[in-house]
Amino acid sequence: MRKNALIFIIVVALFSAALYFITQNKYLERATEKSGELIFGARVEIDAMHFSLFDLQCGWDRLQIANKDKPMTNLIETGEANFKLEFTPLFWRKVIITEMRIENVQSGTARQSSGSLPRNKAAKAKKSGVFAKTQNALKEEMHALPALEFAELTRKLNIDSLIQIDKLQSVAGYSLLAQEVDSSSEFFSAKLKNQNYTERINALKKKIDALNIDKNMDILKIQKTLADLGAITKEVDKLQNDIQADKSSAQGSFKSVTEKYDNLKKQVQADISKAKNLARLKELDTRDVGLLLFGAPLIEKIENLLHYLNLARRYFPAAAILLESEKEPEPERFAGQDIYFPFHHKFPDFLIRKILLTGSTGKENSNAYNVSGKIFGLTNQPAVFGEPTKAELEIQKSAGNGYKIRSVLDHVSEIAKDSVWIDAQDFRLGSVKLKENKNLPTELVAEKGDLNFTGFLRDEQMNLNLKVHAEPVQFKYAQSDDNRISKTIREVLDGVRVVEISAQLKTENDDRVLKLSSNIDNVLSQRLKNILDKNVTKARQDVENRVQQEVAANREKADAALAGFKSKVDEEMAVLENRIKAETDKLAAKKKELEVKLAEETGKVQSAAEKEKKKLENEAKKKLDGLFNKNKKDDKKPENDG
Amino acid sequence: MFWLKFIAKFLKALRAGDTPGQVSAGFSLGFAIGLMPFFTLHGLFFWLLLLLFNVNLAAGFVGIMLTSLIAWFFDPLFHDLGFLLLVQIPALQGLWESLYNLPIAPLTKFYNTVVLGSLVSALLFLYPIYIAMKKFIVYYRNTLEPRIQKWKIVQLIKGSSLYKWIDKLQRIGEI
Repeated sequence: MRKNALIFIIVVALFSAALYFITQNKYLERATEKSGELIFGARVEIDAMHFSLFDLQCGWDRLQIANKDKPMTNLIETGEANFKLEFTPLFWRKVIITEMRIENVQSGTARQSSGSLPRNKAAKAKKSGVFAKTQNALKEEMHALPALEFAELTRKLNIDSLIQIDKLQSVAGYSLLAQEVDSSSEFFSAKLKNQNYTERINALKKKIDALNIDKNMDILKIQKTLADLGAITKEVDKLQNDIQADKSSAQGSFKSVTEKYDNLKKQVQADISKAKNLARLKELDTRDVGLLLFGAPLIEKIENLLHYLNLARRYFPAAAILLESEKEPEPERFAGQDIYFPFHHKFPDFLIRKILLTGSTGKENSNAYNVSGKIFGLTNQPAVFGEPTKAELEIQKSAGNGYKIRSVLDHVSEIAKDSVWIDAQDFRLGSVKLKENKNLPTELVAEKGDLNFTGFLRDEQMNLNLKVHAEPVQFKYAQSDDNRISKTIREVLDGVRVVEISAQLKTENDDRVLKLSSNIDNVLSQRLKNILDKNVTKARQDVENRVQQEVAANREKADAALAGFKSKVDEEMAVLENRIKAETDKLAAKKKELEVKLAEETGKVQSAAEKEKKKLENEAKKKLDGLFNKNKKDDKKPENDG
Repeated sequence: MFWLKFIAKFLKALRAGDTPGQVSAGFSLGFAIGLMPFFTLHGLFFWLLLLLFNVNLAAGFVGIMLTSLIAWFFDPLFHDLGFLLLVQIPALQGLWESLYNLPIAPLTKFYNTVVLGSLVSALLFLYPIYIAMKKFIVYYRNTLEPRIQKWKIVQLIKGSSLYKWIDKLQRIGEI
């Protein structure tokens, strides 16, 4: 055994340990801050981080995580935190925290310096699709409510301020159609001009007129004239074909715009319905009453809740981001291959078995909440851990209201299943701001109430239910009751002492449907319906008339343009066709005349030939007869001699 | 210079000083360290053996240097051997699975094909290298070294003033 070497090794080990002991806290602090910045996309600051290697205790005095969207406020600020790491899992590089105590957890606290990171450092985090879709659906739901300005309905409706008439499809369509017809008409004119039909007909006319038919024409001249006539006929045929093609093209354009015109007629009714919707003129539905009265504050609360659920889903796999980012790139050559074997221990890469937290949502605010509770099983690998993350929180408002919140975030399987239960009994509701409206109450004051909320989310499907019971209640108004509607509303609401609201936000066929009902709905809707529906019907008629009026004005332009186009096509084509017909007739007459002439001349030539033939035949006959008689005389002569 | 010094010391140890067993043990341990990937838990164990036991350190460092220079060349073979052991022999699966679930064993990264292949190769060749090296030292000391000393080139070098000056410096350094 080499004693010197042993001493050397011990000295080196001690020196390394001392160096680590001196620098570990700062090193760990910076490493944790950097990891946090990667997850949250904003500055993370830790004060006085400490770590003890001997008992694996870790903690900090203060932690600030800046809000990425509001850099001068903190998303989360905590006071002192302490936690202990489990020893055994570290052999497999698994970080398991048995119990974490976090004190004074706050949200929305002000920062002294900006918490934004340089652009390239900021992590890309987007709102989960399910929450963004839900928020949009809620907005649409509120927008689809009937016009709240009931008083306006009793006066003349200013439709132009409610809807942009000229944006309606039929109104804009007629205007566009008129332009299209004008454009087609101009195109047609330009085409006719380019084809030089008049010049071409004039040239043909000259050629046809130049065809002289004399009385003394011989057969050869006639045949030459006929050949010229054939060439002219071909030209005439080509001209006729060109004119016919242009006529067909113009008729095609006319047919197309006529079809569009017919479609626009059908569109008018659809536009009238659309205009009515845009003006939010629909009959008052019982379910609308609840939304009109309590929709705005309720949707605000749901949106807040969705915001926190979104945060939970967004940052839930935070440790996964962290661990992924810390993976070093593998060397390319001869790195070998890691072979993984079944791992029998249920150690995820990162797990906090239990978090005990206390805190508040902001000290400065009088509406601040004190929060205390426990979170179990926060991990980046729920499937490995095999258990969902559970949270039990108690929120105590400084005014005295208390809420119990329980949630189960089950990401053990591929489909995330999240559940939230919120319960509050006998809480003081106080003053709740309602939607600003001339006729409706703007404030609800309730002394005590019970609240029960359940929310179930399965992947992108959700079913949120809220029940509120408040009594005694009092409605307050911003303006005096100067019309029949506001008087009726006040009559009904003044008699109400208990408000019971039941709301449900549910996914149905990929749509988010908000249903809200209250104990006031029926009685108020019945009383208002009689007054409002008459006005709504009248207003709807006004909208229809206004749309029809605007449509008519634009349709007249389209009608005029269409008629102009049609008459232009018909007239110009008729002129051309008449002229070409005249020339064709002239040409046909000349052809006939020439053919007669040709027949006459041919007959003359044939009869002359016949005469000549007969003459020659006679002459030949005579000659043959003469020759025959001479031979007879010669035969008789020797007999006489003999 | 650091490595040259160890080479000089190793050459000296070949001639005399430590026993052939000490020199060959140091060399074979260095061979094992050089053959394996550098930062492994079992590598550290071999380092401790080399540093703590009374073996020739110079021979150990020369062994590390020589083997490290050629180890990369054998990495594909180590991978094949490691893959054979980890994957293709079903009888060993239980052993690897047990080791994988033990607390300290995974820190050795034994489940990596190159790491396991090089470790098994090092262990297989450790004793043959030790025996071969020991025989070589005995042969060198008894037969080879006297012949080398008779070479004219060696005598020329040893007779030069530069050699004497370096030798003198080394002696002063050793004092």
